[in-house]
Amino acid sequence: MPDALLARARAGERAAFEQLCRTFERPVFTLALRLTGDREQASEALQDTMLKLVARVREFRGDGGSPFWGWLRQIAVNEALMQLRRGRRFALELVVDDDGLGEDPAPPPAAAADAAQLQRALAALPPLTRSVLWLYHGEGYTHEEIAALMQRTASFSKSQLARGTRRLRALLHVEDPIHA
Amino acid sequence: MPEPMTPRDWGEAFAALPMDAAPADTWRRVAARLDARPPRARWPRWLAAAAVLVLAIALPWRSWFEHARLPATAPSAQADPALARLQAESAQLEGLLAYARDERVASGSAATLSAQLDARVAAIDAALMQPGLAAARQQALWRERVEALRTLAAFEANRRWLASQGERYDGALVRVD
Repeated sequence: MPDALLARARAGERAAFEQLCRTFERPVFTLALRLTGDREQASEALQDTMLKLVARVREFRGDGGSPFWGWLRQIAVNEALMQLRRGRRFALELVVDDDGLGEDPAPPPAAAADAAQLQRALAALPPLTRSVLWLYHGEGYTHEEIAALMQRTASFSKSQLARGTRRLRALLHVEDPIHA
Repeated sequence: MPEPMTPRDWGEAFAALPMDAAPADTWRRVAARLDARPPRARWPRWLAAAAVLVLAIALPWRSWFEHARLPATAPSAQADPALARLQAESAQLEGLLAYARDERVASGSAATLSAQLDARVAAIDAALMQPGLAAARQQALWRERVEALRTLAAFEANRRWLASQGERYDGALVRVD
């Protein structure tokens, strides 16, 4: 992230915001799509993220070399989760804080190497479960961080992760009967 | 064609997924929503006056204070902390400018002068983006940027103050070197 581009954005220059939007729209949209599983909701989350960027760019300090993407990603995650809450898609899921399922440490099945199969399997998961899975495995969030984002407990996050991993494995085995 | 390797863990599997293309009209929609925002409220007179007073007092004072604090060390040792101070001041001035600026109160001459100052900042930014800038050159450009932003921020704050008085900026009164 060039300092000059950030400086121009902080000065309120519209062209700088457009440049930032075009630079980051793909990773933001991808993240929102992974969490929401819906292109329309992901598009809304992307626009809301960019509007928040415009409103809050002066809050990004970049102290100690902290990356701009890390700051923007947090906004994008919040906006995507808010889309799910607005659509009440979280409310439809049966939520158990801790159902006693232990961690699933086994490696993914071979079918996970097929991007199309993996994407279909992820899309088939309930939104809440998929969000936890993606935040944990895809974005590297800890259970405590996921709990704070979702206003739940770390036990909830662990339970969703275990449940989701087993479900994902089952979906991939169904897609790939040769390796089942 | 060889089959892809089975990922070692879920993190590796997820990282290998391709990114999705965002809708092509994303910026157009964002820009439309920005334009649809309600206009910012006019500053009350006392706040406009306070902004002009703060800029009139704080900017020269800060410049004096920064020079007084600089230790007598070799230029190379000063480069990083000095550059950091210039960049911090630049960011603060941009924050002030964002609040002071109001496109609705521009007269023709004020808009021209504002555009000239903006263009000066943009030219400095373009120079800053050149790769392989020497540290001394980088510092000189940031110093120029701070000076340009000081001029621009003071000008915009004064213009807001005039607008709060029901007056407009007269280009004959100010000369920008």
